[in-house]
Amino acid sequence: MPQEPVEILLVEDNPDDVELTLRALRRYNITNRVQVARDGAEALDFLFCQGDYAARDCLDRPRVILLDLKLPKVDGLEVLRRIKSDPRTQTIPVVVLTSSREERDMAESYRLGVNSFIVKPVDFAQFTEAVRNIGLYWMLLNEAPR
Amino acid sequence: MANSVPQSSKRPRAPRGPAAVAALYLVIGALWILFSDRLAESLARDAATFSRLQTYKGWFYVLATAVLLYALVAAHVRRIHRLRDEAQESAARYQALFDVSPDALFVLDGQGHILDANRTAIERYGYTRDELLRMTVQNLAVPDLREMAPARVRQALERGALFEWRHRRKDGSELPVEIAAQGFTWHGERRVLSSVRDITERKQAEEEIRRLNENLERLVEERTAQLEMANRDLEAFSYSVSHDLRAPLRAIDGFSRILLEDYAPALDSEAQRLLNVVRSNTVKMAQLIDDLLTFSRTSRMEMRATEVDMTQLAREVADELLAQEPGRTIDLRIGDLPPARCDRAMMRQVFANLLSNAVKFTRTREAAVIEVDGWTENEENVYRVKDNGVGFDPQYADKLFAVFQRLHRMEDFGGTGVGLALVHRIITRHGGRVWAESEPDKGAAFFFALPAARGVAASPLPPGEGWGEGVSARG
Repeated sequence: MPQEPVEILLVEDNPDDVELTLRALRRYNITNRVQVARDGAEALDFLFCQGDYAARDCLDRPRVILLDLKLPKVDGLEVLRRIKSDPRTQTIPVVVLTSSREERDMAESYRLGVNSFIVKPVDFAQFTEAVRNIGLYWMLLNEAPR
Repeated sequence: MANSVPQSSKRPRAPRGPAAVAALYLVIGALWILFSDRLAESLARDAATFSRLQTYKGWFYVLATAVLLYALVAAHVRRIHRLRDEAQESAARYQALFDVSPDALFVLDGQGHILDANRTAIERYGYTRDELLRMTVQNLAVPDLREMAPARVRQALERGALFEWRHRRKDGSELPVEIAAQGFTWHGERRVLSSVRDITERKQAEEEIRRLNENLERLVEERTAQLEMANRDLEAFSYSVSHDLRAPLRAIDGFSRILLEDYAPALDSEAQRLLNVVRSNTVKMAQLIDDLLTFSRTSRMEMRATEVDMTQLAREVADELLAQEPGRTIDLRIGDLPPARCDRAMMRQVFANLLSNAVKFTRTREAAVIEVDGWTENEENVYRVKDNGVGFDPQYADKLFAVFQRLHRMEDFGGTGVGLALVHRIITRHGGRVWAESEPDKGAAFFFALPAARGVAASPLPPGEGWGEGVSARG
């Protein structure tokens, strides 16, 4: 585990998407402060300092969570619901970053209080652009309450 | 029933006739006594002759009286016989009518005792006439209805009654019946004539209908469940397509791009070109997935019909399209279109697909001309999108609206072959129809017709007239 505070929690099960996302974020030189969770359960363990992450400093909250919806074990919408209904985590901005174009996913995400909903473009240039914009907005401009 | 023949009108009107006859007899007799002796006296010259005449006179009187009496009695007896025959015949006629009725007929008293029953009743219930005449209607009813029987008899007596009932035959079998009962006066007493119809067949038919309906409902439920399941499967499928098919594409495109960016010096121009081919195919595939998803979603999407200003809608779509084609000269004219009752978002898609097709297939023209017009005929609103593009061979017109059918080579005009299929599906869901006309290289015209909604003012414009702007119609 890196000693530096985690800036971004990336919840993504597809290793290729993880690599592409990390690459897109590389230019901000924060890849060493990105925590990757490979499924919904791991994401919740990390956020609520339980299971494998029981020893973690729970006050160290990520500045933004990038969340895929289709995840093994606990799906993305459930993770979102748990994040937004817990006072410890509800102020962390959550950006749903998904391949799904299903409107009900978008509607449900907004109902649960998501901060942004972004459909991952297939085109890598657009994808990089989208991830960079998220990084720029949530990391640099938005001052989340800490 | 035999003695129920109406008699009052036929009874001989009593004392007047006989009294007149008696009086006439008295007068004639008295006159005879008075004048016959005088006549005899005037005719007889001596006492012996007179005495003889007296004797003849007496014999004549007795004879005349006897003849008269015979005539009277004989006439009377004939008359009585005729009346009796008539009465018997009439009674037999009524009995026949009573018996031949397809309904069982009962005559009841106010307590429900059976006073008479017709042959149908005897045959239908299996009791003899004598047995029936010892029973009440309560004995005929099935046990659970027995208590209600007296009330029905009273009701029939007071105001008539028509009701369904259940009877039991002598052999114990049940008989569904419909009873029409009516009070009447019989031999000076109030009675009930009860006409009992066998409705076994009707009940069976009703039961059959009920059973068929139940079956039908169950069938509909089953089918609905199957459909819902199929729909859920389809949703799961398209969700999966949407998510899972896209991810590998992104990886292919992303890693190709990384190769191109990070290893450019190691790749010669042919290698770079090949990688770009890979990338452009991923983009096409992504577009295909999107179109297919839209297509499948359109079939499942709930329609929200509203009054839509089609002229305005076409204008909006056209403006967006033209904004994406800044380098081209496109003369896009929109006439006055009849308004329609439809789902606005879906209809927008229809215009978008038809207009973008028109824009696409006029690409080879120096000056593209695209016209949109519409009119009302035969209770349909017809809309037409016409262009001066490359057109298509009408031989293949039926393939136009099928999904994945393309009439042009990919390198000439791009596209996934879903656009017109989508138009077809949307219009069909609105209860309308689509068709197209064209000749190769002479432009194409796409038509769609929607049922003209009642209450929507229809535009009376015939095709080719009344353009809002650019009056010249294309030759």
